[in-house]
Amino acid sequence: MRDSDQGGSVINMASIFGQVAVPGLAGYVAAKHGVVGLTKAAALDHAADGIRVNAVGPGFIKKGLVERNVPEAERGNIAALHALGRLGEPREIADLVTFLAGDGASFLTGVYYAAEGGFLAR
Amino acid sequence: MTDQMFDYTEKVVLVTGGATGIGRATALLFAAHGAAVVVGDIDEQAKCSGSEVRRRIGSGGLGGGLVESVGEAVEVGAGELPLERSGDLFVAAAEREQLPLEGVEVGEVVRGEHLALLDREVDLSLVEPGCVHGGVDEDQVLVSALEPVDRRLATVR
Repeated sequence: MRDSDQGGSVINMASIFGQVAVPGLAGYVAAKHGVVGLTKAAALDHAADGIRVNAVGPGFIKKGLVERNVPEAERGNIAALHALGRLGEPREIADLVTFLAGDGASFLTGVYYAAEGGFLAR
Repeated sequence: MTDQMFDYTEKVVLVTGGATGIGRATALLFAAHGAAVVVGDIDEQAKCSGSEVRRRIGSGGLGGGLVESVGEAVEVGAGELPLERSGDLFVAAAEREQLPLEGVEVGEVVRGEHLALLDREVDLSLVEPGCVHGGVDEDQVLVSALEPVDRRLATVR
């Protein structure tokens, strides 16, 4: 990306747990906070190259992590943690990523953007 | 929001972890916006064959004008490849007629030492048969390579 001289955009996948903590997941919380820190540092390091670096913080998303680790019976409780009362769809995170990668986000760098159905507003 | 904000027809997008979940949705959405999408994943589900991501992107008619020899985006995971270390990203796709790949059957996946094939400089001595792809478009040859991510990006760009 640097060699191309055309700039670019990097979007790191953080989490709501890159912003707040949750009991019992210290490793995950630490790692995701690290992603947010890395995002800020990388944004500073590569701004001169025209490379924007941002992070996205999903709430609980239906697929992947939740599917693998959360029994179906408990998913309703997790959904209730979000103001919208449901889990997110992968597409709802992809929408934010495609925005951040594009020209419409040309003045955005070094920032973490939560996409979490109101989880953090509670 | 304007259509232009989401116009990726001249762009290359690399999606890590793109076989499932958020990564998969992201890869498909970028593809829908016209990007040439390169997907990597160390997940078992991103096996050479049968991946919905590859099938859907492969039939999506991507733009990908920036990388002439990458006609379509595909993803290849670690599942059926003899990885020397996990975490590497693989992939490249190329239209068959754009590559000097005599001796490699359409639909066959080969494993190379580098990604020079994107510059149409394939050294067949470095390419070994890998896994066979099902469901690959007939005009596609899939080639995976072992190289650090940063170098691959430089090559792709």
